[in-house]
Amino acid sequence: MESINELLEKYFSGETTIAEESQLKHYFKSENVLPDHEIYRSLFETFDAELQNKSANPTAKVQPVRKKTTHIWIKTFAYTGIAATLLLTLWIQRPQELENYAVVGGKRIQDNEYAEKYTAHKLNEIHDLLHNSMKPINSIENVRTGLRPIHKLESVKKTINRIENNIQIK
Amino acid sequence: MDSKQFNNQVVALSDRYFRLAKSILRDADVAQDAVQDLILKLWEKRHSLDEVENIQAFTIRSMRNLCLDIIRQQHEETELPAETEYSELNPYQQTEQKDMVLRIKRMIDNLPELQRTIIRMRDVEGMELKEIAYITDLTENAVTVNLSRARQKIRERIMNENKRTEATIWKA
Repeated sequence: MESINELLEKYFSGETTIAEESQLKHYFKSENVLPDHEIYRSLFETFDAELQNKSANPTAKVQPVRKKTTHIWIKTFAYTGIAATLLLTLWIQRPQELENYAVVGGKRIQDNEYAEKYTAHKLNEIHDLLHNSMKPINSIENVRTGLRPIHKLESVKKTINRIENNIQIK
Repeated sequence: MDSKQFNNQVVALSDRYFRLAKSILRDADVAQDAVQDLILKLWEKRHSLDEVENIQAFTIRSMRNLCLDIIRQQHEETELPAETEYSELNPYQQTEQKDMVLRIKRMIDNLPELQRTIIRMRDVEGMELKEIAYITDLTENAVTVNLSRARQKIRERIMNENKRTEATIWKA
């Protein structure tokens, strides 16, 4: 009893160690509590009861975090996709008036009729130019036709040689 | 600190945070919100937690500081004056709280914040004086003094309560 009394005095002076306090808790949980000490039993019961006081809504555990490399790839794909979408949008929504004019001698022409006539005129010029350019080629063809008899001279030569050979043999 | 370490070292102490928060704030719902708030803040700073030597002491200290901030924000309306004495229960309360354990809980709740925090950290959570000193930002000697005062007050109140009970029985 004396040792418990001493421990209790130490306890209320705040001088007990954790081990000594465990000893007191163990004593007050037992069936051997002396009548003089009974008054303190509820105190230690209160501490035990409070330890059972738990959070009513357990805190949710955090989910594992994916590795950073995965995030980098995801970000890269996302940013590339966004950039491609932006470029496509800009291309689709580019100013349409760019398609409706022609440039002649450095000047912008938006009169369709004039542009068509101008284009037809230029195409005729190209046609004439091509026609004139083909004339020397036609002359070459005429020369080739004229030279055809000369090609026959080779066969005449071969025939003469054959006749001469026959004469010598005889 | 990754999510697994965070769950094992921080989230696993949620019940401790809750008991401390409830002791300081004296409101289970507000305490629950405070715990969630603390977990969120610690998660945001999880990378710097690797440098902390004693995670338990650090996070409990953070919990206490967060609760004290909440009390300050409430302009201390919910906080009883620091030296409020334990008041005798009215007949209705006496009927409702016949259980001595509930009465002692009420006695502890009526201690000043620092004393009730210290007595619960020591006698409920079984924490070392060194840890309590770190959490409360006091010296170990100051913790011992406050612990002693808290226990002495509870002892006096238990004895007074006992005398009143005995007197009532004799009168009957």
